[in-house]
Amino acid sequence: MKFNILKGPFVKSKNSTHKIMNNLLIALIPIILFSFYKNGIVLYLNDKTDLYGMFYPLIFVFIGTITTFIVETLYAYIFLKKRKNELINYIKNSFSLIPGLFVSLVLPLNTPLEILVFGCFVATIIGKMIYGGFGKNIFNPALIGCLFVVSTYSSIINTNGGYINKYELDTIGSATPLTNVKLQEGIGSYETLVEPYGTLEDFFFGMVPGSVGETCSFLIILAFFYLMFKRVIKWKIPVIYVGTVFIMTYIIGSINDFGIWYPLFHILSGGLLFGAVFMATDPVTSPTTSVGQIIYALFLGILTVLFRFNTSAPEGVLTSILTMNMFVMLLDKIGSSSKIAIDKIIIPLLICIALIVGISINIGNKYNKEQTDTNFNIIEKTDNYYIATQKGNGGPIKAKLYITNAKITNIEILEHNETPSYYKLVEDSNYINKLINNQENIEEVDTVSGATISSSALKKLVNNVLTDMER
Amino acid sequence: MMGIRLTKCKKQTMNKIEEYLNPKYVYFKIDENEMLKEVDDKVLKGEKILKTKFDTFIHSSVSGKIVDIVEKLDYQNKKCKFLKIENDFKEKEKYKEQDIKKITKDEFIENLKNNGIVGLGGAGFPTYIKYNTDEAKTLIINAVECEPYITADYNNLFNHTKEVVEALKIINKIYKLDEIIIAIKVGNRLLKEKVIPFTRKNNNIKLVEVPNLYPMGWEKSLVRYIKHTDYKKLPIEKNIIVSNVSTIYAIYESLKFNKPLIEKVVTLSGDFKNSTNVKVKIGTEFKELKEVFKDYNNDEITLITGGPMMGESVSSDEFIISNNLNSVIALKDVKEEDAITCLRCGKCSDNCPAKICPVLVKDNINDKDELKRLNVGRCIECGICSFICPSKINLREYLRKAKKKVK
Repeated sequence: MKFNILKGPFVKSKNSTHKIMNNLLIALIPIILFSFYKNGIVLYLNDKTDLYGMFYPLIFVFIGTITTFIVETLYAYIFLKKRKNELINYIKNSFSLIPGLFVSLVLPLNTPLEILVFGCFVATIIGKMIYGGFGKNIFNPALIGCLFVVSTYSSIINTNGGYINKYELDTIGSATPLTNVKLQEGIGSYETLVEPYGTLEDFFFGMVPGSVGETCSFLIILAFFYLMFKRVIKWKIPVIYVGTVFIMTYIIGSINDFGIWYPLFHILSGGLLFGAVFMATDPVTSPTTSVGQIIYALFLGILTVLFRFNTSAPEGVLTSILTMNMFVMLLDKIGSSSKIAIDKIIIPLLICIALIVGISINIGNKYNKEQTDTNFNIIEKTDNYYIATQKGNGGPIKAKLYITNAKITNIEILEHNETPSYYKLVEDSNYINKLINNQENIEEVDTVSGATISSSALKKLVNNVLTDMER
Repeated sequence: MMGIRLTKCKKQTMNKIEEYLNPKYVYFKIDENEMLKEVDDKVLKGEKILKTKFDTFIHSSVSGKIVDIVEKLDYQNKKCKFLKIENDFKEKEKYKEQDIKKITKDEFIENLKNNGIVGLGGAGFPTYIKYNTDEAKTLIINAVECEPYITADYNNLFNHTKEVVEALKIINKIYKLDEIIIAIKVGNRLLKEKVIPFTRKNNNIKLVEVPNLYPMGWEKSLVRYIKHTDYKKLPIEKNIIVSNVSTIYAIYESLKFNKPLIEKVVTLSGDFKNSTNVKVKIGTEFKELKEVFKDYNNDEITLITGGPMMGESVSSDEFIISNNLNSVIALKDVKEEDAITCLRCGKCSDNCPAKICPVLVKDNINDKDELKRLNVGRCIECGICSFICPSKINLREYLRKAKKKVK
């Protein structure tokens, strides 16, 4: 009779890290197949490429994946001196395929293969191995590889066609939706942002230009539900991350009188969904505590919006995630304290909410002003009066507005080129005095019927001077 | 987070109870206790032989002679000195029914102290200390038994519902309680049907079904679920007393017959040839019990004292059954899987009922200040972190290490 001495507990859950990784791979399969369809089969059917080109997306992903595997195995063999069984065990438990797979899915298909391989090399060595390998890295290895490629070889990728495949080059044009945002004057409109690519439905089903794995929002959302159901990913992160971006872009959109399409456009374009579901949830580089995850995701949303609107970079997801990776330890500290004293979450949460609202309103107003400002010019400005022009029907209307105690007391029209018969209607209705008397509620003053353009120009002029005074 | 779902494995011993009340020898751990008898002294069944540091007593469970002081394994696999008593099989059942209608609180406390009643849920803390209070408003009877395999409490409540309720009525009278809540697991239809007629007759005794989760039977979880409140150290802070149902049955026997705690029900389950509950004399050597009753299914076995979550494995079956052992479980295919690197999935933190972050404890195992900040002292060693870890890291061992460091 033999009695084993073991440490309890003597029952263990059936879940394992290998199962988690396998589920992650299962969730990625439809996304890879979709890329094969969109970047391979469609091109082939439209005679844009040969058979090799058709399978190229699969080859691309395969090469990326196998590169990190080979690099890490070699590293283990040469530097960690792993041999035989040890090496096999190491390979089994280090999940070296994953970073390469993600690098190839986040990069555009036009990345030359040698650059992809180099990116995967960087991902493994600089992103993972120098920290001590799997489980010890601070930054998401795949994103380190991508950052390296995007920041050093973007010109080569762009001359190669950037994010556009050969079929899209003919049908759509030369820019991804988010690069297109940067080309707009001001904030753009539905006609300039969405319509060049079709409808929001095309965004949802992924028939827009983008990197290999990021375009099909529908499949990514499906993968998210699969992974959440299988308890593979920290589901709070993608939900709150995407939710934050939605709320912020919704506020920005509403300030500029846009409908619900605007936040949807931001969520469905670029790598946001893919990044939120697959990269931000990377278990090794995200917080382990619930509260930590919530704050992490809120800040990811805030940073992504800031990067998208306030820098020249169109995307923002990659940089946001890498930035937040640095704060994981701190966030886990807050998270572990607030598990016991729940009030510790209040201050960080209030800061996040304040930032979300403040930044959104700020960005929204910035674009809103830029839009109206184009027709308004201040010529002279003193403490007592403004001389300014506002474009009317026949050109700029020039006026002198007298100011006392931050209020307009009198308006003198210096020059105008409006049609006399219309302008007479304005004068007859005593419109200028109405504007002066109602300057606190200027939006509620009705324009003069029959002389709408002239009267509304005057109204805007007063309004613009008032806003300028407030500043 | 209220807990996790475990496979129950309780069917094989439910409503099965046998007796083994005539052991050849019984053993009592000397430990720090004061010896009231010497070697070669004769003892009667129920006679006081040891006095504990809490002023309670340990009684001989058979009549016979103290033959020796020997080294034996206790149920936690530690070698300790034991008093060895040889059974002369001359014991008589001499317990007479007593009039307990007019018992006062002081008499009640004195009775528990004299008869050595301790908490039978596992902690083994003297019951009289818990009841020595004027603040109790609510009494929660814990019959949850959330560990897999164990059915000892279930059987005690099922077979002695009337007696348990009678004890509750006496306690109610002494303490003038607002309510008494019997907590059982949801889905125990037979048990529910057995208890409900009694709760109908008694206005302030209620039956509450709690979710089938582990560790729902932990005092704090139970109080949180039933009374929606949290306490710091002891439930009495919120005017609550929590007692195990087997303890209540022991109180009943102690009050009604002035019978000390000398017998208890132990579940034998898992890979025994025939799993069952056995009523045994406290102090019986497990090997003797096993030879009379059952044998194992396999030549190589992990023998666990306590439940599979919180229990310990023992290196031999020559250990002594003490008053806080509820079950002995034999499992044949338990293997310690090799741990791999932590994935940092956070499942241990998400599922910890004591609101600790085991993964951070593991990261900071050498940083004493950080361990204090992480409140490792709250750990109840329920083992969920080790159970749930996909990388098979035994986090509870880190927690134990951390608790020692912080002390």
